[in-house]
Amino acid sequence: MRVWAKHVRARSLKWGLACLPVVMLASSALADSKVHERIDAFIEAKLNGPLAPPASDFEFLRRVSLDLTGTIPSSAEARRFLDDVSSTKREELVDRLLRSPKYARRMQMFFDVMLMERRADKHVPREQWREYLRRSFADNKPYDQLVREILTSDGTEAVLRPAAKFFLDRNGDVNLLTRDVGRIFFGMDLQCAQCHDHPLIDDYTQEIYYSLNAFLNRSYVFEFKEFDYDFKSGTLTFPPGVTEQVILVGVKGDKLDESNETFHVNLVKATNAVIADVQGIGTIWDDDGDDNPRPSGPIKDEIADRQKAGSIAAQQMLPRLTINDWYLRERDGGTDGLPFTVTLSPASTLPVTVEFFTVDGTANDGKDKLVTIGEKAEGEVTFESVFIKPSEPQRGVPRLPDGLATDEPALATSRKYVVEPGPNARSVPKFSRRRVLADLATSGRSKAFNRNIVNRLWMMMMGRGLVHPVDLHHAENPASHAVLLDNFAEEFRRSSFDVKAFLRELALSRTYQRSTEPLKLKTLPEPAFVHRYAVGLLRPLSPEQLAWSVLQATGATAAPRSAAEKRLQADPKFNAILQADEVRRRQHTAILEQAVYDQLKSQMDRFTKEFSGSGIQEFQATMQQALFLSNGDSIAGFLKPGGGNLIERLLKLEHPGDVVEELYLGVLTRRPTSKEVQDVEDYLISRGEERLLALQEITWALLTSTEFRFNH
Amino acid sequence: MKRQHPCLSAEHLMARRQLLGSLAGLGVAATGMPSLYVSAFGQELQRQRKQMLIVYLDGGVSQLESWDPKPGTDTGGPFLAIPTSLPGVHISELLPYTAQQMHRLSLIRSINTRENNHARGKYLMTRGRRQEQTTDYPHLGAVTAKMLSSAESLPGFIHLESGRVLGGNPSPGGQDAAYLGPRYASVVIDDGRPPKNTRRPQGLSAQADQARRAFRRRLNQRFSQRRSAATEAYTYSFEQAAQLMKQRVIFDVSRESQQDQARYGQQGFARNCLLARRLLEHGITCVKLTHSNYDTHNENFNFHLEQLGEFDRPFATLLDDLAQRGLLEHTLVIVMSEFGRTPQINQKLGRDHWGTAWSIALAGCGIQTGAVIGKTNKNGTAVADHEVDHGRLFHTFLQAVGIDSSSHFAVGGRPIPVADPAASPIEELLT
Repeated sequence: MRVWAKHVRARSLKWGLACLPVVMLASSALADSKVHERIDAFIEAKLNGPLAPPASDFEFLRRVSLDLTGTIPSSAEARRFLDDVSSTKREELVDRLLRSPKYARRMQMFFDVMLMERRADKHVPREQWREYLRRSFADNKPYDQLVREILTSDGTEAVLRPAAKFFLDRNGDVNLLTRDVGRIFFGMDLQCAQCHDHPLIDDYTQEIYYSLNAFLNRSYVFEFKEFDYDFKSGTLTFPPGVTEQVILVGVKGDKLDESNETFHVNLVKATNAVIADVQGIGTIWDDDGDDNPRPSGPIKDEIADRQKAGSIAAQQMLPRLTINDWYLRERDGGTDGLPFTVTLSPASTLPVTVEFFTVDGTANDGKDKLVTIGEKAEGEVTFESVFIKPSEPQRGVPRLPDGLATDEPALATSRKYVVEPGPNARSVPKFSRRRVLADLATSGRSKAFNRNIVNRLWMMMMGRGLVHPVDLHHAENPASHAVLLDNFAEEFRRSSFDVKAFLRELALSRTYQRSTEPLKLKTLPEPAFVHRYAVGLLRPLSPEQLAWSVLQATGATAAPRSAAEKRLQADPKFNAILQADEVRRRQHTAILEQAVYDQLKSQMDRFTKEFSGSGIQEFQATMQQALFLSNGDSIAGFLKPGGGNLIERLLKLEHPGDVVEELYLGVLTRRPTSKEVQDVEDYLISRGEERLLALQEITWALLTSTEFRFNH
Repeated sequence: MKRQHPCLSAEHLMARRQLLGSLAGLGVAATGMPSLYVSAFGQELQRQRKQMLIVYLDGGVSQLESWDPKPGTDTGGPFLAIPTSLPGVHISELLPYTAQQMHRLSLIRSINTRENNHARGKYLMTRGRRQEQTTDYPHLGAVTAKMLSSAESLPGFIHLESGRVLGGNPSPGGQDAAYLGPRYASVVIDDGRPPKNTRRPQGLSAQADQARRAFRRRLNQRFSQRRSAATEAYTYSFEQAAQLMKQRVIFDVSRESQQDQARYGQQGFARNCLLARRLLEHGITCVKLTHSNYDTHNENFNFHLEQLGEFDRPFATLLDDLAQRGLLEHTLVIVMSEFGRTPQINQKLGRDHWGTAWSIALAGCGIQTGAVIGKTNKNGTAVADHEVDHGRLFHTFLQAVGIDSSSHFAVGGRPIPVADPAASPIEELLT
């Protein structure tokens, strides 16, 4: 059965026809075939007309490089691939790209935009978040684990703190989070359903909105609000003869009824003196609410310290530094200073310095207190439609959009918390609804969750979601290939949510590799034609892809790369380690990639600022962008010869034929046609002496061409 | 599900393009410039081409020192009220020239937006709705550019800035069109210089530019078999860019007559007023003119004396010129701020933010002349009659230029109302 299937397929391809009878899909033989063959079977089952041929080698090379590594290949890589005659070179290319550190980088950029949608930084710096993503994809972290981390990280633990950005940098806004969790993880834009059942989409009811909302509404952003005193550090100097200096520490008053709180001032590193008393204790005497007892005044220093210091001082004849304890009435605001007197005894004829800094005791200074996520153990959501007023508002029962729910334990009030909420306490409940959301979503049993990620990965490679738009899954917007989607959602789950494996299968499919060259049809195709993948889809480069492709094409990557290479070669540590070649090589390329990225990421940011769209539509072709490309200093800068970049290389080539080939391979990832060779040569001749200018102008034309701007 | 694009119906756009095309054939410039002989087509064109001028007094101009003075009260401050060319209507003595143009203006004195924050106040006055986390709404200028621009190459919404601007300017232009897309976002003109990147870079001659563009076009020809809406938009953006570069001269205010430059004055805002006139004459759909800074928490009276002194004469000149040149009848002029200022005078002789009872002024297309809508109480501490808010104002602005404020944009298949559906226009103000 399988042999016959192959035979029929081969013949079909030869004639550009794909008319696999539907009955073949039911064959169990297909169940054994690879994932990408099954994809093709599903797609081709719905096609009953002419198909575009497979993309040419150079089209495929460029396309898959952009899709899997976020950038075009170098001219050297292009030459190697195009001249390779092996019949398995496409599969080898895919595997090579997936092994490259650029794969993780590309996924970092893709998922950064998918998850954070270019929001401004708030509590988690974007570089930390991006590195977290890159690392996750470099390790091929399963997608379910990634999502669990993103939804449950509370920001208190260093390694997973960046994952909390999803929640923290949306300010813990529960409605915004409900909408974005719905869109990004379940493919449903429930925004309109916040106030009433969606007016146009029957599936998006208010109940569904608040069922999702109920998982999130107990979570909140936690910030230390009450700082008791101001952190202070510095160096005290005693000019000769001076025996007393005062450190004034600002105390913040408030109206909270608290017990007395203490903090310390530590003395360290004295010159020309010895520290007899290392620590002064400051007590903030709370004056709100019930009266607290007056602190017991200057607390006696540790006898032992003094004795020890005394003996050292006696030996070395150095004066002694001591610091007193003191207290201050809190008051309600402003910063009265709590004075710590540092005494030098006896006076010195030499200048004495000592360093000091404040340290939290029970009082805290709020410095370096990270903003984190807390969660309550109670709190229900209720809702009513703004259009219909039922007699009683309904309660939102925590449930996923596709119905998954779980039982909630009934805990006694006194046992609901691991950490109780309080004015300065980040509450941690025993039962976390947010954790349940993460667990249910990633359990594998949520069809909506599984379908959503498969659909988004499909869109990333193919240019259009099986459900389109990708955040509008509902009954009236069915997938173009519903069985395929369900099938591979299940497959993805079974593969333990392995993103890399799935992308590999997509890249190997005929569907992906189809040319974008339009078919010469006698009659206009029906509108749904474009959804059938008979022809590959033209797609604009993302702002990141555009940035890195421009940097690669113009050779701006050359200089940082060779600088990093030099550093690496000179590093004895790196060369001395005897490691297996494979590991060494991987480390080598990873280090180089990181160096190039670090050096050029500000250029990438420049491009993403110019080229990113707003909200719904990422791709916009604006006049300002055209002006930026035409007259801005970015591209002009990359076209100045130097650092081993493209223009510098081209200037060194004597034979115009070599110039044209290097140019087209490096920028457009293909060899020029003979007409193009002629065109370039004519241009160069016409500009005569101004060879540099001519090369810059031609390169500009290639960089701003439609062919470059789009993935085809 | 077919994604609908947020745009006017295709038939409407085609009809306008054809109209302009045929006019070009007749030799009548489609720029709204007044001409001695205006054909029937030309009249039709001018009637169709509505425009907007937003004069934005940044920081919150004091209504008590401008449109709604209360001299002799505990809140009135030291300045007097003067009669205007509109019998029965007095404005502050700080606006003597504008007072002479009052017959062209109307006032709304009963605004209560309940907002005292710069950024939020600015947002609600220019977008017609309060700021929301989830949806960003387009600026009035972007809406106008979208609805009223023909398919021209010049940007539909230009922002002329002078002085320091306060409170939440996200980025210079480019971001205020929200879901309408960057095509309709404001293009910011800083200090009378042309928009960014409109000048050829150093070392690129005009011929070289031509040559490289021609090469690029030939390259695109080869690729043109593959095309989509996106590739078309991309190619077109370069045509637009080239157009703007060619027409960058319209941003050059020194091209206006010496006489006019002297009449307006050389200082920043004054020069921008002349530039605004120039841009409107060249058919730019919406010009926003910002004058800064009115946020007078201290020395309110001295600063308003100074600021309104800068504002008064050039603005009056501009208004008069627009009227004389026949532009006013199809241009809506709005003078607004994010809020007014407190009747209470603070310890530093300043007035603070006040969204509770304040005023704006309007003139031109679609607006009754000489109307005064609403009033405040004796000392300006509350609205006494006909309270309106930003929602109603936004509706009114749109209706005045012929845009149906109850209509919707189709954004990604979802209808989004052009203006807040909970509000409605101020009918008494519209012609």
